[in-house]
Amino acid sequence: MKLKDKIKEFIKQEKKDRKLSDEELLKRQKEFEAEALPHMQFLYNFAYRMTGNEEDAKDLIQETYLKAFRFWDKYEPGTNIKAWLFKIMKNSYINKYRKATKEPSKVDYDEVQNFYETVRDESFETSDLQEHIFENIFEDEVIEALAKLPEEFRTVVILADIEGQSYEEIAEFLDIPIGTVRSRLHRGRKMLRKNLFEFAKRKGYIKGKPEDYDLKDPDKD
Amino acid sequence: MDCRQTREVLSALVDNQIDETTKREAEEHIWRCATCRTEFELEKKTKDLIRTKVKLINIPQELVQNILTQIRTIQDGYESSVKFKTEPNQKVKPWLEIAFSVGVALVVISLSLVLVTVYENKMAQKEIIAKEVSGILSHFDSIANGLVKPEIISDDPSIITNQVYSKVEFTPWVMQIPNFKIVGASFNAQHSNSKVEKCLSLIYRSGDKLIFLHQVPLHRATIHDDVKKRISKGEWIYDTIGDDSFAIWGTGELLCCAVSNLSREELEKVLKQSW
Repeated sequence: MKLKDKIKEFIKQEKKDRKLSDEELLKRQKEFEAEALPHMQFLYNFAYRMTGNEEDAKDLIQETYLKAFRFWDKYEPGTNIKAWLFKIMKNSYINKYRKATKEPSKVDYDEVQNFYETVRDESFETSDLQEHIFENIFEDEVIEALAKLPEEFRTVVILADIEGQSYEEIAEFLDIPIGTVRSRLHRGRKMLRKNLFEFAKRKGYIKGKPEDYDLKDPDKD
Repeated sequence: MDCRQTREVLSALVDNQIDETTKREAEEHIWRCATCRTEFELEKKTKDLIRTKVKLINIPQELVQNILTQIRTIQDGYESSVKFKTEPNQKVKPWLEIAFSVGVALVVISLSLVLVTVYENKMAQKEIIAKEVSGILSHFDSIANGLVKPEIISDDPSIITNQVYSKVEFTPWVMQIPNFKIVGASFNAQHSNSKVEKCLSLIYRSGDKLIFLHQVPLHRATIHDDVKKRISKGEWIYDTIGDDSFAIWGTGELLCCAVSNLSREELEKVLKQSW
């Protein structure tokens, strides 16, 4: 067979492989809609909290769903569709926003650790202080405090505390062990509390530095 | 359980996502240790604060509608696109809207074919050329059949032109083709990891006729030396494979390849008019 004919064959085969009958196409579409659409609300909220605004969240969801539809053949029926969609969205998010902000692709662990150590040393033990942190804070301040968290921690806090996902689900979404979900969540909430403390201080509910309220290292028995 | 172990499961305790044994052990410790108890209370309050202050948002209905429309448009594809009339601001071209993804894979195939070509100097010119364009041809077929979606689709050629200029790192050549309108463009970023796109394909349409204009900077194009020689002499190479016709030529800086479902003669005529 001549090369030209081979190419002809190849292209014909390609056409044939990709050409589904109308019936198959319709079935595929119905299937996709039934499986994937129910998770849009969950994904949208995550996208909204990660990007911080409606427009970006919409773009992200749109991209995620069109990608998912395009690769619908790759989805294995019976596996976790929510996690599958979440991973597609996470990739889109990383491609779009990490590149745009020139953020390093991974959180520097040492940096986070240092940060954590600082957080740990600050105490919020006085009940007085607690009242101030938890009662005078507005929604947008919580959102701002959340936005300040390093991405890895923000992700788990959003999933667990806003979206109410189980640890098992979060572990599957992010491909991390459950132990890591736990520790990130613990640290994330703590960092968030520190951010809220800063707001409270700025607003004058709390006077002095966090150190003024220091007790001994809480993680030592 | 000591303080450290307790801290490790503290979040799980707050969320009650913990097995009974560990829970009991952690609770025992918290009962004895005031510091951990406070820490537990604080974490619980933090969680409640987030949950109560940051509300779940309802998904905008128009977003759901938009996505549904787009999916259906993709699905309807080439043949039935006429049936699918969208509202005026819907700028998608149904039969085009279907996705360049297959093409992306095919570009890889075309590249490998191209590489093989370099080492097979004795191959007849015609076959060499057929090999060169087969990837682009498959890509074209995928679009024409509505299997693949270009990155940019618009009713407004100026939008496409603007986006094209901002997205490719070389100076693209946006050719005007009489009676044809630019309806989309795609980039094959596959050639590199860079954010800047390395090659460009413009899609022109007139009724059910499509012209696909692929271009890449000449110095970066991996093509057979013989072909390179021919086009650098100013030759335009025309041929057909299957139902599609194509042309390869150079502009001095760019290597261009046009693929179309026009006949070979028609394509030649159209390109000569536009040049």
